[in-house]
Amino acid sequence: MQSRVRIGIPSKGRLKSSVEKFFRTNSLDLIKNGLEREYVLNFENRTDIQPVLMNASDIPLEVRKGNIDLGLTGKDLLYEKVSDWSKTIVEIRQLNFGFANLVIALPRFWVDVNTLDDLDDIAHFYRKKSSKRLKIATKYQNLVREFFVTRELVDYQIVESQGATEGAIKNGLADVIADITSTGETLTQNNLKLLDDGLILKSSATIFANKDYIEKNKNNESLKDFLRLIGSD
Amino acid sequence: MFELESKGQKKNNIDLVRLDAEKNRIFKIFEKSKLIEVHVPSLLNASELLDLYGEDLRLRAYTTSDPVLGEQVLRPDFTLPILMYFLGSGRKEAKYFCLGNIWRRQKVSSIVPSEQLQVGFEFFDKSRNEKVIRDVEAYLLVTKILKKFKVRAVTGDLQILTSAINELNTSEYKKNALKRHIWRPKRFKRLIELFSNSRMAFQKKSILGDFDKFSVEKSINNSGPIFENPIKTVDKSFIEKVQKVHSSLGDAPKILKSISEGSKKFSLAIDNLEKRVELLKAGNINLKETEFMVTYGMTTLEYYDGFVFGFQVKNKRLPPIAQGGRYDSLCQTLAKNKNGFGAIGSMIRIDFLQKI
Repeated sequence: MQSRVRIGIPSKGRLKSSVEKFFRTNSLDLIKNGLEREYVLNFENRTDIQPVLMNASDIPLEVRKGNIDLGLTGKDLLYEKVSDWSKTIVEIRQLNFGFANLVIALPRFWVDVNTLDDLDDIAHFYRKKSSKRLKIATKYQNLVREFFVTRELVDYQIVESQGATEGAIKNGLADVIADITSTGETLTQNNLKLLDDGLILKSSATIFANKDYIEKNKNNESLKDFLRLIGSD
Repeated sequence: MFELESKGQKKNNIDLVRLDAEKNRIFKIFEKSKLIEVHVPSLLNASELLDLYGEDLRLRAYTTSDPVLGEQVLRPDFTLPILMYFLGSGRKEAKYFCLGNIWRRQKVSSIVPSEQLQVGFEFFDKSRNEKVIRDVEAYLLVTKILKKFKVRAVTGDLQILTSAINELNTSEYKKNALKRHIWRPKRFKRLIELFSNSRMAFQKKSILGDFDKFSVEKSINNSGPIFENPIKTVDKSFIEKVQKVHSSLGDAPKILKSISEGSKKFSLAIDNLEKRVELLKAGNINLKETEFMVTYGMTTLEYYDGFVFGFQVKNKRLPPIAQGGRYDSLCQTLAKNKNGFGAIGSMIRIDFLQKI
């Protein structure tokens, strides 16, 4: 007997309703059997495919470890959480929702800082003057660090921020932030602006799988059927 | 079965008998040259290292978390721990060496193991006058250790490019920015372009259009260092010529002199190079077979700021078997009161010696 195909999906937040809608339009209705706050879901009439409700940012690593077979979450989270994704993960389908950009934002009144070169300048003078490094608050430490390495930026320091990052500057926790934005509204309302060349990643929701799992399950009918339904090739 | 090493970890199969023999041989050479063995911690305080190397450290070194001690780092090399040991010793000069493991994260494609056995030595000198002598001494010591191996030597000198930048007829702001970025070739190139272009000023102004009412534009234009003293075309090509110098060590001073056209600071750096070359010649170094590259060492560790060298084996996938250089400004930063004091050191990958 083949075991069930387990797919991790976000348990709450912005993505959740789009995910439900996406499955519904692909003949996979998500139904709730248990209590309102119970984290159990099933696909209607499908017992061979098991949705697993999880924190959106935990999904990539659980797929990487093989605890679940497939995952659906933001690309930003996949790339951030699984550093060797190119070797261990297969991206199955990019979805046309959950669009968001990982960007660098800074106070709007820094009128002389508009590019990474300007930021590098400021970081250097700040360090020289105060012997402190310019602080960048972000939830995406790995992506930001990689971006700065390729752009040859130094003299900065990453401060971890697990949420409400847009407020980090006003609260004195950081000088600059790197965060996800879809409309830019939160940034504007917090008097922040974007760097001209500070786009780190264009993200959207994506379905991906553990590479080993896909290779070992080439003849798994449930998996094949699921992939056909969600429209991968 | 329980596995001690993670899957896919590159193994460093070491022949222990040969290793012991290698160790003894090297220790004897060190003893003869009056180096003292020191022991330095493997776990270092991350905040100090992070302050020096920045976030890049996390990409190179293993950082750990500890609720009591705070973030710790497994030593990625011996230079800093030995330097700290020296500063704590209260001595004015010293020659130290240390043998042990260092740990560095490696890229997926790399064949270099993340745990490496290295020997590192550092010479600390108390005055400026000794620098060239110490440089040569350190270099000769490495060549002595590597004598029986087939290696290709490459040398460089970061003072050459730094002093060439100092010669530029432009603002201090621009010179400092260029000097700061000699380790980052892409940015360096971009900055040279930017600084030699006076048109940038107009682009900058249009960005500031919205802020007219704060008269920020005016204040920025008055202080705007990017627009002042654009680097002239001849100066730009002077820097580019210097960067390109790649010859035998014996020919390097002559070639550099032909570019210099008698500029003072630059000449001083060439003089130093020439002195070093003469001393190396006296030490029986084959100047024809030793390479010299102005940009050598400019993509790796940032703390070198003078004479640098590396020894490459035939297998190009292997990193240099030995690598070292002078790092005076790092010393100055860490020991604020010791004027003129500097250091040169080198590491030798002892675990790779038996593979060549």
